[in-house]
Amino acid sequence: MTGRVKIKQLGEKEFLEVPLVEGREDLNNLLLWLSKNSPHNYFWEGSVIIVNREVASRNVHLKDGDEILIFPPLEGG
Amino acid sequence: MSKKEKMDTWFGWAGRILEVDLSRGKVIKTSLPGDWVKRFLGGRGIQMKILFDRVKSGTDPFSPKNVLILGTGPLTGTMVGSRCQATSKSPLTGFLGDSNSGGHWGAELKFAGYDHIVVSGKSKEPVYLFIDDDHVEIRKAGDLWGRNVWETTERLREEIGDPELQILSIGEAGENLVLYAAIMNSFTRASGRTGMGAIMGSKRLKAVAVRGTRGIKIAKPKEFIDTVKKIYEKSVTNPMYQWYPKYGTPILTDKKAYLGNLPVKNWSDISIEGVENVTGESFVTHYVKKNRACYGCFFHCDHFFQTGNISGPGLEYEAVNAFGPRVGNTHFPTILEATNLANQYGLDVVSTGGSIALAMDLYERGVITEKDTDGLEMKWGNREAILQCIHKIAKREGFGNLLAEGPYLMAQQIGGKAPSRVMHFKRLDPTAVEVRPFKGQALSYATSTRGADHLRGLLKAEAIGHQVTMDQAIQLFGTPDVTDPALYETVGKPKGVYWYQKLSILCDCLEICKFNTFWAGYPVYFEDLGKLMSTATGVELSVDELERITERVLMLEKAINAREGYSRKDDLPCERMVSEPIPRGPFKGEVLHLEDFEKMLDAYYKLSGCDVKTGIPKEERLVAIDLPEVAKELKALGIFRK
Repeated sequence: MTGRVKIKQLGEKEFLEVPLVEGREDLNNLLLWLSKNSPHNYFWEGSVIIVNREVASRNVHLKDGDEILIFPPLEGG
Repeated sequence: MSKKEKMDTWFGWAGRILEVDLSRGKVIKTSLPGDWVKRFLGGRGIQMKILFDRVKSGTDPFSPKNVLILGTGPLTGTMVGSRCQATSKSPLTGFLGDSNSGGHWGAELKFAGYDHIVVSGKSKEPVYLFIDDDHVEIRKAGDLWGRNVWETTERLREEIGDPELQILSIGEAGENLVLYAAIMNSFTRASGRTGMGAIMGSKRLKAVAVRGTRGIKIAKPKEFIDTVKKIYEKSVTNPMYQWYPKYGTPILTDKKAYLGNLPVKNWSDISIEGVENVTGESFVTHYVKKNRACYGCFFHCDHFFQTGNISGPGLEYEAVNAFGPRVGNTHFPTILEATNLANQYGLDVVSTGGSIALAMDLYERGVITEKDTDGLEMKWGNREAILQCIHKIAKREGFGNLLAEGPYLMAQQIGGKAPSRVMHFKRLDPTAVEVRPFKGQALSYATSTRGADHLRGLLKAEAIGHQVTMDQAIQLFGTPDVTDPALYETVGKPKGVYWYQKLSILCDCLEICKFNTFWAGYPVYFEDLGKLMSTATGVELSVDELERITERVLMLEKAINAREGYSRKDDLPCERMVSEPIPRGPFKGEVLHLEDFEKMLDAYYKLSGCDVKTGIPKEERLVAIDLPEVAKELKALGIFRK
């Protein structure tokens, strides 16, 4: 597997580019990997995950060029 | 504890109430009844008890017979509590009025040795209350009347010669009886909703200046500190801690704008061109100078901001939305200027923006014209119109006199198509949460005892993305369906709404900020709050007992509203919520279907012990939760259905 995905969570200005390597080809695994290897914790049970501007499930299979946005469960007013 | 228990045996609570009769110019110190803390805990709970006992049904909110209760809870002034509460009959809705705020005033009142201040009567001239521990004095405030909140604060500190003096006050809005005037402390912390500032103004009470040196006794200091540390650790190590402390609540704009549930242009849209200019990220990048916290808070969600010659503390998502997208504005400096004006005049930002948004909506539709608006061109996003309206509202000047009535009453006065453009529950315009797509959250708003407001128990388990896991949803609410926004579900959602209402009541009775709890996504539940309370006060209560108390407070509030004519129809969505679909975005087409909504409402009433036909607590329910005096009065008034 080759390629890269872009990922950003709420509040971050820039996308982080992450290589798609074996073991990170689905979103859940990517988030788990990021939670151990990034200064930010990207793994949060209730977050809304948007892939290419559509709400996605956690087991979505990723492909080169996918753009991922993560919105934590901040709610209210 | 008994009613006669002496002051020095109180832990957490100060054990005293100040009775201030402004008609007679008298101040009396009384003991906090021991049975009240067992039945209602403190803060919101005890103040509702006082409101029920002291204000008869049908009382004019601006009558001297109405009371204004200011107060704290057993955690106020400890390492984890800053909140102070203002309670009265609302001039805006005619139902109960109640609102709390952070800041530093509540802690200072506790340090002076008081839990609550009950203000009755009406002064012949403007006065302020000065409290310096045991020394309490009603002082003339002639030279303060007409001054804004910030001037009043600085002037009192200067005159009394104490820069640490904590001031709670109204601005011109409260003096002029704007129906949604706020009571302010620490410059920008507002008891904003339901018009408590107008009640204070009607009594000609300009301010309450407090200095306290007595401290607060903690029953089990070591255990209390250990519990605080545990909660602190749970919070700061949680992923959620990355957002609110850095960005404050303005970060909510970012999420809602993207996901399509941002209130825009008087709730007629869900996104607006240029929204990226008014996000939390934009706020922090361009305007924030440093963080600011309320007393004893590790959450520090507030900020000092500056742009050009506009600077100040205190910007919340509610203000961003009310003076931003809701009025069609995406110019951040205008939001900051409008927010400062509202804070200085002492106005609830939600209803201020809501009134201006409604006026712009009506203007754009030709229902009102420049003849009605003193020549103001009420076009969406018009900076001058937004700022001029705020000045006019606070002074009740010209068109502002109409806006000062709030969206619901203002629309009634305009007539014609105007009432159909209002969003409200129980005559209160909503905080900036779009509930049409979220059926359970709509039930939260509908059954809230003060009207449309998330802070009385929003079903946070239901959202796009949610604050509970599926396992937690099943454990707490019996079904994972509670997390699906689109479902009109009659098991988990009514249960969840009831649960969050109880959780919010517990926070408001203890007077701990909801942002230090599960409310903000941190794993801090009833158990932790109970542990905080027991170690602070020495009163041991199980989770079941705590829930029982919160149920008692909720039923008491519903009974207060019932005395004022509340019935099931007041728990239903307004016309627009059921007839006007969301126009675009992920929730395009969403409205509330009344028939399905009412099935959830039925289930909520059954669960909470209310009469399904009237929404009023049943007599046997009131007796069962130790509110016999309430049952007796409602029966005497003929409120129960035969």
